[in-house]
Amino acid sequence: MNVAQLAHADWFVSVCWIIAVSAGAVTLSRWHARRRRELLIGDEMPLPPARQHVSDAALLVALVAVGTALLGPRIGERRVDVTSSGVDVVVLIDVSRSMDARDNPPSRLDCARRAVAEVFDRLEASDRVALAAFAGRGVLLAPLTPDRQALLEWVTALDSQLISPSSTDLAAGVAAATEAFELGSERPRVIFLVSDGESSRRTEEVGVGAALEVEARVVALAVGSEIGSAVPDRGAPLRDAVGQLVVSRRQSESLARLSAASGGTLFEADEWGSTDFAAAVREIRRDAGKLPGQPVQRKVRAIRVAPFAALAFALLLLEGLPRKPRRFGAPAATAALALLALLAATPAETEEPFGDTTPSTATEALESLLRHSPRDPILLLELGRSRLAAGQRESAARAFLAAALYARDPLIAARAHYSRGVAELERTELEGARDAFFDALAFDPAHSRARFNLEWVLLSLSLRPPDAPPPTTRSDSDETKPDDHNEPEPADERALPVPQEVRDQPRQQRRASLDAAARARSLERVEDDLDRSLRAAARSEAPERRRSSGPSW
Amino acid sequence: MIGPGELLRASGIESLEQPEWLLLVFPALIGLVLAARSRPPALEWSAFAQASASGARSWDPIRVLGSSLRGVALLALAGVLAGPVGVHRAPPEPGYGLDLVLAIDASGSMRAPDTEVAGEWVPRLELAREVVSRFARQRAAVGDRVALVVFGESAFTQCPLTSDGRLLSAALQRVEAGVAGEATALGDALALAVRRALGARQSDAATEPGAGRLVVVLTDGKSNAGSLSVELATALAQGEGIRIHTVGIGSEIDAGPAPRTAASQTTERHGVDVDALRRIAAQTGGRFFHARRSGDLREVYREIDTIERVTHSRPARIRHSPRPEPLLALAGSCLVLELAACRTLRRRLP
Repeated sequence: MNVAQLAHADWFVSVCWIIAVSAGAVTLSRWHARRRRELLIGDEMPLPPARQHVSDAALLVALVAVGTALLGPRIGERRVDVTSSGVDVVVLIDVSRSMDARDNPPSRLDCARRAVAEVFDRLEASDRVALAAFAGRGVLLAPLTPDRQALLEWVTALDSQLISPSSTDLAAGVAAATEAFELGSERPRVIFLVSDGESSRRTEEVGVGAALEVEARVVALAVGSEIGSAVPDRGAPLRDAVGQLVVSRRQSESLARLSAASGGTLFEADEWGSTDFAAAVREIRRDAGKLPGQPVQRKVRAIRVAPFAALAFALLLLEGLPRKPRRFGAPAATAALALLALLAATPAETEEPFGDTTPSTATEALESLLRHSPRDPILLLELGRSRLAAGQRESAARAFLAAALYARDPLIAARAHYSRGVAELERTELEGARDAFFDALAFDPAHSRARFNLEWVLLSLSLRPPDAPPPTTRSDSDETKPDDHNEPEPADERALPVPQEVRDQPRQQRRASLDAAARARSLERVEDDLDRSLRAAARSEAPERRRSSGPSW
Repeated sequence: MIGPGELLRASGIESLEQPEWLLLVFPALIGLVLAARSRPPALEWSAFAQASASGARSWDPIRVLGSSLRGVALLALAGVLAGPVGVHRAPPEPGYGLDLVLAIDASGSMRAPDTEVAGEWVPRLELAREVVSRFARQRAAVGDRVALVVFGESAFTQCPLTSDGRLLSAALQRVEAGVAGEATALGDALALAVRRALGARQSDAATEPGAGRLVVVLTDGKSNAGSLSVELATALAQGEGIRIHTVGIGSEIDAGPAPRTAASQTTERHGVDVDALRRIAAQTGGRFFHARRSGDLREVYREIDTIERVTHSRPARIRHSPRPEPLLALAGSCLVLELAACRTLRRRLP
């Protein structure tokens, strides 16, 4: 078994030392006693009873068992119920000099950038991303964030001069990436590694230990090509000390080893640096549920302590029994062992310690009901309603969509689509609302409210300026809502903590002087001078290590 | 007198998952009693007076120590089998609190060593770093997301929205005066802060009911650089419904335009543009705070922390996790001591 499989691998050496010293001391004293006996009795010394050997051995074995249990061996897997809330992905990009090679045009690093953009595009809204880069050392550049746009800008600013030395130390990169994971968080952890796998050092260490320590899976994308390519260096191809042309080739073995050992997968980029990104994202999101808040069963590696503790207990108990049992000695020992066996046979872990707290709101109650019958359209419909009432418009729309898809009765499907349309309207997603109302009418052509709302949506769509992006939920634009009693309240009245003096101002005064389109245009113009912060981050020392950041299963 | 319950709690064990395993204490006790009842091998000696004169005792302290250590080890192992669990707080699910962007002026004037910290004069930025860092950590700990924007003659994202207080602090420590140039591009900084505050917008539905978005900008000067005007940036924030609190450090602005000569960058002292900051805050529904002496900065951030308290719809989640380590360590050390006492220093005769 690999030491990395231990929950407390850092104690390994100390525990080994303690056991070794104890065993050594016992052996030494046994040898010493034997010498004394030889001196006292001479050659006719009777052999010491075998029982004594057994007794010493029993104590030492018990000590080894306790030591093993203390290290927390991870054996097998067990399932835990968690509430899905998206995955935490750390994007780890190789920025060593070999990433400048041009065998994936325009360069391997550009392919890496494109791959990150493709993956970000396909991630779910609830996922969080962080950014790390490595060359001769690893640097965590940005912590876990929902702001993928910001990270994409950082990724674009990466170059092969960012980190010196420009060699490749994959293990350091993985170690830096694991720093991003939050202590005790139960979200599935993934490191998305983009590298050509080429290592300048002949080292076996690829960071498996660091990844396993925080229970992160590594999904790797190997860029570059088997044929290889010259590495540009200030305009000319890079040459080594004796003037030979340096050819950098993709070396997938280390990446394959890392991803396999951590339970992930390796993808290989084609000559254009592309791969099946949909499959890669499926692999990244393997342990995440479809919807936030949905219950998911995750397989985690189980820490087994009880068998070792039971072994140590039995050995200590038996060893302590008198050598020559009196009348009731043997029966008592047998009874004790029988009790132990009985208890060991009772199923352990009958319930998960991570059970959710009792549902307090209607949404949570519905969600817990849905755990038992996840395809009940009526329940889904109600869930959507309660989410809508709670202002969670997007998840409400998803619940309505699920209800519509699972509904057998066309009238229920029509109702679900109609409700989805209302939810989309609340989000001011006019296109989505239009589609939903169309769907509702397809199931139930006589649905008059759907007809009315559809008409209104089509009208507003035709009135909207063609270049304007869809208005956001927050926009204060002057749209008139259809006078439909089924429409929930508009979102603008949501209570924000506003200082008193502001609250007292007339509403008209606080209205924005810019419309949404102008705002979007201006925001586009904002320049983020990232280069300075990237360089500062790459120069800095790593923050002090977290004590241990694995989830406490 | 401390009971076993308090001892367990002090070592992080809150409860036992399967307390029925504690019944193992009885076979352990039976074993110990049996062991105690069995007479140890001894040399029989009929002359009592001689024996006591030579220091012989009717009981053996090492033997007593050995059996008590064995008893404690067995008890601890029974405890391990009973499944001790500790309680820990999983980080609150992010996105239910405020999305906060802290913009910090790192222009050359922040080098001015006019701040007294523990009897020493330090640059303003050092105090600002410490105060903002504490503020960011506090807010991240209660489930808010915090981003950092640093500005000088240009503005950049030092850290995108995150709830990781430790990494936020680390990012703040990297901010140096002059890192973004000597001038003050307040407009760019505000607009970039607005953009970062909206960073989670495309994100999940779970973040939508968040408690709102807020920018806190800290500056000691007057906007004199950048591509976007302060007015436009303020209008942007207003349009997106983002409030801006403004914090000015240092004395108020002098009459007349601020001197801008390349030679006097570090000695340039033109004070803070109180009117502009007040206007920004008023227009976006925020408040203006003035730390006339930089020492007041702590108070200012404490007050912002107080007025922006939101009750989170999702409190920190309490989780139970196995915690057998203290009991295992106890059992292991008892065993090692017993080995040392009874199997090496004093060997038991057969």
